[in-house]
Amino acid sequence: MPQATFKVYRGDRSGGEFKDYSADISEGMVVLDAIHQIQATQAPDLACRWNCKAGKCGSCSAEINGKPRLMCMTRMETIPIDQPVTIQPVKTFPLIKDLVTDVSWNYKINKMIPPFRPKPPEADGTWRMAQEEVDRVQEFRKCIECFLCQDVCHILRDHHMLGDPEAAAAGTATGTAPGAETEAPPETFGGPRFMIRVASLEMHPLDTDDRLPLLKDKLNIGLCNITKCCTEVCPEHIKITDNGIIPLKERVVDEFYDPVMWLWRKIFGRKDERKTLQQLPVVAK
Amino acid sequence: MSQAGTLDQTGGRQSQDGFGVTARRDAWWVGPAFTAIGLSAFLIYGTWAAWQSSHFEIRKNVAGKVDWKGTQEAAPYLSPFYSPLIYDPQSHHAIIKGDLRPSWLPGWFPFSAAFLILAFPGLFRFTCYYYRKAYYRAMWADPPACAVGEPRKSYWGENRWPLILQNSHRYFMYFAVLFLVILGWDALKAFWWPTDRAGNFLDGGHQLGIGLGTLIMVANVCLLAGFTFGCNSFRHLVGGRLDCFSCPNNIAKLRPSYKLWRFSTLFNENHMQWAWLSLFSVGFTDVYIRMCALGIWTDLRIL
Repeated sequence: MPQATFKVYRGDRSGGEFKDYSADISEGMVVLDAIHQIQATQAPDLACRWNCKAGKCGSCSAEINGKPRLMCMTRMETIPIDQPVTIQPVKTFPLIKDLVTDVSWNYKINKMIPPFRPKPPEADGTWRMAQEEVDRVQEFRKCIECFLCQDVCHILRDHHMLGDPEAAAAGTATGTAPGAETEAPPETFGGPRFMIRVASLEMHPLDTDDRLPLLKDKLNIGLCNITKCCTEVCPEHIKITDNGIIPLKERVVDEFYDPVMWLWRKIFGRKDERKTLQQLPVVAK
Repeated sequence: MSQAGTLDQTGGRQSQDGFGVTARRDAWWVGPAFTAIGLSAFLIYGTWAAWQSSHFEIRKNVAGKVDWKGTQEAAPYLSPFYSPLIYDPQSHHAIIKGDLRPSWLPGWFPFSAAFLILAFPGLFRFTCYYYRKAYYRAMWADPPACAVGEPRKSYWGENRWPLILQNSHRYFMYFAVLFLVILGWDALKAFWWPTDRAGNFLDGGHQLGIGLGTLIMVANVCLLAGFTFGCNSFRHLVGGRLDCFSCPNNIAKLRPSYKLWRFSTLFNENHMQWAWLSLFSVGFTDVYIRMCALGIWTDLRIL
């Protein structure tokens, strides 16, 4: 049975280092199996978050040989084992211990997004949508919130634009990213995961809320320079940039940057129902 | 490439890696390198070709030899770099028969009919969402590749001047559609020959014919159409901007916008491939016509 060496990051907020472990590799194994084997035989105190082992819970995100991936969906036969396999926590978020990071910033961003607000039902008391309309937004609902897209996004990863979501929502730039070394408070970029959450609501045929000002001013969609790394790492193969972020950017252009569209709205008015039904009760998502 | 090594966890944050620093082991630099080479090659060739102000169509002299200084059109081709041909003293493709080059310009200063038009397709590609990804990665290293360290700490994205102007992409898309019509017309005219198959002039008349250049020009227009129809702004304009394709309240019959959006999506799914193929085809169409106009290659008359 072949053996592989794993260089696993061990440490917490005070510091850490890579430690070498070995694991027996058998057919069909995934990286998470190897981590479990290491936990069982060599490092019982190795911290690792996991749950479904089926690529659906989004818990076991890590960086395997430098690439953000789900450990449970990375088969060992796809990784060369003639040299040590590096496993480290996702870089973008603060470390808690070993392979476990604090991703709570994401949930704060999520709270900034107004939930689904449907238009009134039809005369028979129901809502109807065409299947084709459902299909478009259904793609975004496949997200498992593994936050690999957030991890690989260079705006968050390298430029640390993880400002305080509450300050961003209030319009006051007083946020500070945890441990950020920059002097000025960082801007907030919502990140790819929340761009597609907004897309799933904004493109919903029954939704009436307008999240474009939020996208432009609070989630800062203009910071995205569309380098598509989020799409490359998505384990659900959601076309985050082409189907989510770029269409949203185009809608922001419609609303805020295109003088012809502005003139058109001035002359012909707004045809959609958004902004006219905002007093409707919120329906829980 | 150096590996990330130990992660500095000071204050709970891993420190920013330096330029090119990554724990990736694959050849992540190959893609950006080829992109940089491809884009640079096109830019250099395109600028040179536009500067030439010559050999954008095939002419013959009275002796029947390929000669740029000749006065007769030998084949109904026009380089896409020069179409629409705003001015030329003798080309029948020219909108204005004359020389618009200002006399006060020094001779070395670049000025040609191509310079009057190339800004539009050039900016269409410059502001294209695919090309933005390509050159942000390959030329600006922001980032050089996914999960690879960057050279700069500051970052403005497309929120501020000058990159906020990328939001003008849709306007260049409108011009791109216009250019598609013009180049399509050029490709149609490339079937209408002033010579017979043997190359003899038809005394001012024309006949239907096909040369290899005709096929190249048609292929070029098809590839440009694939690129333009898959443009993200085009996709937004024709239907993507709508939330509801069935409104008002008819889920059995979707609005035509849905089919247009699906049509554009078909091309959009391979926008990168269309971008590169059409970039190559534009360059090659010019190369082919230029080489024939120089007499280095001989155009193959098929019909």
